[in-house]
Amino acid sequence: MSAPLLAMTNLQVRFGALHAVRGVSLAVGAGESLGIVGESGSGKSATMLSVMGLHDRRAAWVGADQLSVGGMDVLSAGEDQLRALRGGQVGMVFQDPLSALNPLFTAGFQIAEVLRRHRDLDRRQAREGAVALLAQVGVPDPKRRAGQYPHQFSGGMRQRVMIATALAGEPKLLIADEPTTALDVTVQAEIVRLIQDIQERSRLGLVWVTHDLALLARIADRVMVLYAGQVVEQAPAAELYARPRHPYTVGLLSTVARLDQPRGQRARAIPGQPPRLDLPIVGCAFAPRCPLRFERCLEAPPLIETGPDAAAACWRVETPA
Amino acid sequence: MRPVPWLGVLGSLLIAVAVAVAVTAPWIAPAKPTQLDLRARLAPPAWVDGGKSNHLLGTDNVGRDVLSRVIWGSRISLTVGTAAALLGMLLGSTLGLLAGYFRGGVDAVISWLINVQLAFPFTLLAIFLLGTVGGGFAAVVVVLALATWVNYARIVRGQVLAIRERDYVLAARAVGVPTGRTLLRYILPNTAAPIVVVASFSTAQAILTQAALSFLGVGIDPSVPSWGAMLDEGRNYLQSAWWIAVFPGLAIALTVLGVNLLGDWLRDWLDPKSAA
Amino acid sequence: MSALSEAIALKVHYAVGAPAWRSRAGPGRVVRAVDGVDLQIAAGETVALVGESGCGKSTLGRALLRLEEPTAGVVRFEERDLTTLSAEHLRQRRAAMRMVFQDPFSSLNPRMRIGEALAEPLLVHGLCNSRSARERVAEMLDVVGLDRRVAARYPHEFSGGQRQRVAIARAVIGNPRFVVADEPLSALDISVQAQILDLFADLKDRFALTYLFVSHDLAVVRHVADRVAVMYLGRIVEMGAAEDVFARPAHPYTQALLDAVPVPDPTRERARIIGRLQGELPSPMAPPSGCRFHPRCPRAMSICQRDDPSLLPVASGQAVACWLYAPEGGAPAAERTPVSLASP
Repeated sequence: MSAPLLAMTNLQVRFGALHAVRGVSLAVGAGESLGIVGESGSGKSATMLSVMGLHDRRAAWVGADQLSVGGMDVLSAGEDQLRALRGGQVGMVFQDPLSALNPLFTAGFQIAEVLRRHRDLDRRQAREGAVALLAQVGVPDPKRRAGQYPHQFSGGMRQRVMIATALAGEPKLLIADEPTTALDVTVQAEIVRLIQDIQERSRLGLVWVTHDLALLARIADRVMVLYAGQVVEQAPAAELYARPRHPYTVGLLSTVARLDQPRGQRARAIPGQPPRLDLPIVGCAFAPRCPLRFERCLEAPPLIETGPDAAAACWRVETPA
Repeated sequence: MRPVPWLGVLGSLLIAVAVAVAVTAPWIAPAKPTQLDLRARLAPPAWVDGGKSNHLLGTDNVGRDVLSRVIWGSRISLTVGTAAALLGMLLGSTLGLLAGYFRGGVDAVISWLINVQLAFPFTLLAIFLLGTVGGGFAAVVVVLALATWVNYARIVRGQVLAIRERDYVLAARAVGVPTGRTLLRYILPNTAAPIVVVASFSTAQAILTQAALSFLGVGIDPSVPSWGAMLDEGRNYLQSAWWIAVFPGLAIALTVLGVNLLGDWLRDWLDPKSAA
Repeated sequence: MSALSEAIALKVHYAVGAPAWRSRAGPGRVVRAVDGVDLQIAAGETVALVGESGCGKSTLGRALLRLEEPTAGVVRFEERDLTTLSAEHLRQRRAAMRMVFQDPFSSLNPRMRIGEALAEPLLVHGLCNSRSARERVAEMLDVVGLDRRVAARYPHEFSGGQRQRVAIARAVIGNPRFVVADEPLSALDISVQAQILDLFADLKDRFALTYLFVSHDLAVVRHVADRVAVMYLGRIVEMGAAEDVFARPAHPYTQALLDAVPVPDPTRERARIIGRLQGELPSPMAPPSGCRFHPRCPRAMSICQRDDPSLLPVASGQAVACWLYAPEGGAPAAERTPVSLASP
């Protein structure tokens, strides 16, 4: 494998007293897809905003031993370099395409803007490129729809427009932050399939952030589970779903309502709530909710290797219950 | 711990001083506001050449003590300002609440009233009304309330239109909360923040308009000292005796500033999210 | 058994755009949110109403509580016609029928303490005085798994899951009989969803409640629902016992909905064929002719473009509105030929 597109070591993000990301490390190469799963407050979105240098520097403190995208150091980059990065090397798809698209410009114009800025096309080429991109993301009648405004699109179509905008800069890395959460299941399935196709065809690096573990089963080669700003488990997808090692991952998997298992088998809830992030966490962050906790959990567990390219931050890896 | 709201403290302080001055006027004023000192007409403030030590802020064209008049004038300006702002708030908020909540015909009528009021030149209305019913405290308060109610009505109506679509209003209906209670417990409290903001600038507006009315000679009896009337009298002497207009002007500015700072702070304080 | 809550030939249409008193709404400006629905919910049942956004399921849920004005048809609760009740009588009925909303961040008045919000149903229906209300509120907080002391606090101090517990407590305090829960889980984190689902089940047993669960997520309602009704563009297209609908979904739309739910198993998930539904949900202002699902249906026939199927029982137990299941003779064989629908 060549140098990773995205390399992050020991990322820390603080919003004042709130310590949102507490030492996340990850790497994504071309053609790889990484799924990051976590609940609200797990730090998954804060992590991805750091990659793009999108945190408000007055509100957030971001630090890392290493944070580079396509070889560029994001932490020391100036605003111009970051702008070139976003929409250029890195494409982004957000949860809410309505607020991510400018309501005052047509879909085609917004895609063409990216084409002109990042690919140096002239007006005409850009307009044609925009129509081609809309066709590529499965927007029917792309020529006509390029002239329409975001509010004239349905949720699913709007998300396709958003994806077209993200692809316009010919990114090497695509970051998808809960891109299907606001959509209906049937539309979600289409968007998942679309992004999967694009990623495989163009050998993009893909980071897909979500709270829905079931969704990642299809799209991620590797899955990383975040809890309270820390990585608690990471493993190849096949391994993680078949043999989850961290009790939190186990809990998450058992709460997923499954249609492939007999009815009557009720989802089991994880009791309690995540810890407060504005206070220091002593020992394992999950211990207060963990059914398997023991004395050692008073000490914070490191990521312990559980197999090839797999690790879990849990003492039970060494001391099975 | 919340940080100390210094601007709020400053605002409260300014208002407290103004109120204290108004209340204690008979005792702290060095002279009667109407007392003429014809030998000392147009005396400059004490620290200026030719100033007299018994007229700290100088005297006006008929030799009345400016300091005493500013002190006594605070009574009219503060009571008129507060009364007008409160009356306007009551009138405007109620109409805005009804228009926003019931919409339809009620809204059409109230919105029409708002637009008429906005389109009609207020000064003309004031001159007409005060000209027909005569000046006096109550009349001025009513006229000033008529000048400010639109501010409340427009803001409250807009807020209510947004709030009535909130789930918690529907939730109240779903639980069987009667309409009146819904208005008072669910909608009105959530419009409190903008009402407070409007109240602070409407009070300021009322004080200034009262001054303007006195200035136009249709307000309260000009022999009663008020900041507005003093400004009016002082305008002819701005070149030769600036102190006649400047000190009441300063009093108005500081009071208005105080009201605005206090209003801003009150708005934050009313927000349950800011409670520690 | 008679129904606790019932809709008969219910239609809820509303005009969009200009307010009613100044609109000259033509037919195209009317959203047919609910367009001819019959639904009975028996006491003690949990019925799940599922469908995509814009299918009218929330409107139907609200209409059953008469929080929406029906355009036509009848809504009954405990055999009384709610559409003819006076405002005051209707308000009194609300002691017995309640609602839980989707977004716990907007369904609680930000300026009311938790305790006040929970006491509200008790006080407005005169179920107790304010002192005994405080005691009832404290008990209810226990029941929904919150500390009694939270009564003195404001909603913004709580997480989404905790707020939803408060909202549920408000819906069940004072012993209502019927609760409509409109997407009560979709704004919550997954681990919290399971907790809240447990809470719903617990409250149902404890207070002998009847639920209508409105949800876009079939997987979530599967374990709580006795019966499932699937809605598409203002109509119910399939309805039946939950085990039948999940095991043998009959309507092509139900099948597509079930197909779209991801499975947390990479091998099976990757092998699954997804995204079989063509196109998008048509506008509820201008529903398609014939069967409303036909433009997206993978099994559409020529008859589907012209004639509207009605909801009829099929062999597997449930009722389905689909020509595939019409009794022989219901449609000439020639009209049962599949049509190929060119994708746009």
